[in-house]
Amino acid sequence: MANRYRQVYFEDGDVLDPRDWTRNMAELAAEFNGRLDRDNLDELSVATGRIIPGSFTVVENDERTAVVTLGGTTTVWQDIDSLTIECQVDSVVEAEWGGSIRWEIGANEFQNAGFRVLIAGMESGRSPRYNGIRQWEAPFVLGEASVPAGSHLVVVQSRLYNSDQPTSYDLNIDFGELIAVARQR
Amino acid sequence: MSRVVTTEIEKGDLGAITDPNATLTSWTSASTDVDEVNIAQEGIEQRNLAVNAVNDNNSSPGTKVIANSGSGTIAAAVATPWQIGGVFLQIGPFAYDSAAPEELIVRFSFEYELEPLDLASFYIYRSTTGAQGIGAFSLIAKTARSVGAGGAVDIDDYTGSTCIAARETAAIASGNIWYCLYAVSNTASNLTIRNVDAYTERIKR
Repeated sequence: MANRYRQVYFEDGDVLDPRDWTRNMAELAAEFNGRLDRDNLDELSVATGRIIPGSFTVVENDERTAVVTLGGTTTVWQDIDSLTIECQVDSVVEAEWGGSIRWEIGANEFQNAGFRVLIAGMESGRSPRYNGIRQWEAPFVLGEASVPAGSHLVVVQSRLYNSDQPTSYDLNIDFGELIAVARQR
Repeated sequence: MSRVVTTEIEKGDLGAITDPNATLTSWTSASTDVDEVNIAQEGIEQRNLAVNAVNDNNSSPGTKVIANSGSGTIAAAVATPWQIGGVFLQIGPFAYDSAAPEELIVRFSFEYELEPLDLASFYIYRSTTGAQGIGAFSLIAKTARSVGAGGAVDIDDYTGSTCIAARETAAIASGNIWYCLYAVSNTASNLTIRNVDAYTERIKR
């Protein structure tokens, strides 16, 4: 708006033509109808209540309380939790998952489990492997990815590495919470 | 504000000569409601904003060894608050209002050491009073994390590290709140917690 001008100047002694008046008003109305910008707003003039929720950050979470069991003989990545996050504009999505895992009794150093986070289909973070010699563990995995505007799926997966042992053991995931934060431009 | 309209006047239109005044009067009454209809696409920059995208951070590092009560299970409500210098590891207080467009994420990262065959579980609790009693705190649902050797495998003390993160989902009307880390050990042995870093992140939605 700063570079917009009155269309017609009136000088002392002019005969006012209503069309000139209307032209000025129409110009001003056009500015108010979607062209106000940083030059029309003072510093610190936009307070919290004026901002639509979701303008800066979108946060989603999913708490998984039901036990998820990964069969010991299956050694491919399997989904253990997921959520969808909506990004109005291009964003950076940070996703973290933490949980409690419990190996089947008898698991040993030959059993390992890994975790990874996929954001919009891209592997964005992977945990170290958690060994079966410790029956209980508290894994944590964090990932981030730049994504375009749109709806994106955030998935946590786990897989087992059994090192070709004759006996395989199941892994139970007792608790878990997936949190995803989309930080918008 | 929504869109503004003008009432045009025409030459010789003497009966409507007051219309410009009416237009300006309506604009004046609407001027407190300037909204997205009036603002240009990407028309606002940081200096125009009176709000921060990230509102607050608190941090409380420390180290403390506790001896557990020797009874109870992970699920039992006998959690032993992890203490530092006789005080809860708690962060806050800070004002939070879930009705306001804010999100709150709480994180505790730490190192733990368990004696052989010990099991421990960690929780984040919320307090709206700051009182150091279990009854005054409420669990942020389902953030308990368990660690331990267990099973038939007897190993030496072992150390691990983890992070607990929780999104505050409770409807807290307003006021100060605190968060604290609880540790529960369910065998008669010591649990050591070191290098705790705790922080909250208040995020503008």
